[in-house]
Amino acid sequence: MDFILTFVLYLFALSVFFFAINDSYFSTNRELDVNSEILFSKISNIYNEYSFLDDSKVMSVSKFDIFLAGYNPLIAYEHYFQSFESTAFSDIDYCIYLQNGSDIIRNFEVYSKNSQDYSIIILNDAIIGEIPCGTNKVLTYEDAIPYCKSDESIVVSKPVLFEQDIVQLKVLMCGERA
Amino acid sequence: MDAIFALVILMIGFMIISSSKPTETDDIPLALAAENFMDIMASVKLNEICYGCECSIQDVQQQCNNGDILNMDQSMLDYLGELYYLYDEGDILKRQELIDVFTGISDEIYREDLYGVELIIDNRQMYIDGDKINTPNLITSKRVLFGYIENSVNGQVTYWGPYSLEVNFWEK
Repeated sequence: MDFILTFVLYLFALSVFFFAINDSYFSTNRELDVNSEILFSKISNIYNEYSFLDDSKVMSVSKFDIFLAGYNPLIAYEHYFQSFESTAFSDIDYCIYLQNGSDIIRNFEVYSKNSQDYSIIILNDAIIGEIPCGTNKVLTYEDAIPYCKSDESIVVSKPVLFEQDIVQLKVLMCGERA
Repeated sequence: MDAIFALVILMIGFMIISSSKPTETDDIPLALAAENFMDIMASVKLNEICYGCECSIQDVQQQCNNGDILNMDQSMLDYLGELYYLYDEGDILKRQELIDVFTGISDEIYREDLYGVELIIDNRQMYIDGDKINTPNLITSKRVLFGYIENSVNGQVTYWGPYSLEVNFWEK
């Protein structure tokens, strides 16, 4: 009788354990997801040379282009996205871009690994081929729709002021499953 | 027998707990769109979207050229409040100006094909785009507006407000 009771308790403990880890990082069924409010709040609360967003306002064009000229995507990752890591994905790449109407007016990449297989394409040109995000950060890409080469993607956006224009600040995340 | 009975009870309990797990709401993008809309309207001033009277928003530029904007150093949201005050005081043309500015700004911020929007100031509906009846997702964002108008000739200051400004968002 004691043996059966112990077995039942064991089953109960086991079921509670698996219920608890159902939504934890151990689960492989998790989808690429991000709280965009926290994400943009984090980006706008950086107070160093990687600060470019002040709540709903992006720094001036001249300052922003200077920022992009000295920009390092690996350091940017540490500042912006390191806390959003997920063990369900072996790698997540990011493309941050400003979109005015259908035109992308600024774009830059953020990634955690200094790898050659960067997965975000800003434009697929008929002649040049695939142009990765961040190739030319200040070039205007008309009617461009960035996309991922990896398994999953999500894009979040926030209206911001850039110079005199209200534009969309977008972050495209591309995840490679572990 | 007792053990089997206990096991059945535990299993039922576990199933109840599992079934009551809260599911993620799909209102989050809509709520964020509403908050983002209010944030930028409240934080961006007219002189930040205009250089002189050369503005990135056509309707604001037109009103600036007409000399209708008395204070360029106020937020877009405060300007709506000022227009409402003038309309409430009897200048009925200001209602259309208010609608033009609101739609001109909102066109730049959210996608009309995805979201319906309604603007209510001081409990009066000023503008609605779409049909919000029977919509399952309705997000309301509110602000309180107050300000003043200074007469540039004699320096007399007239205070207006407070008005409640309410913007309703829903998915079309």
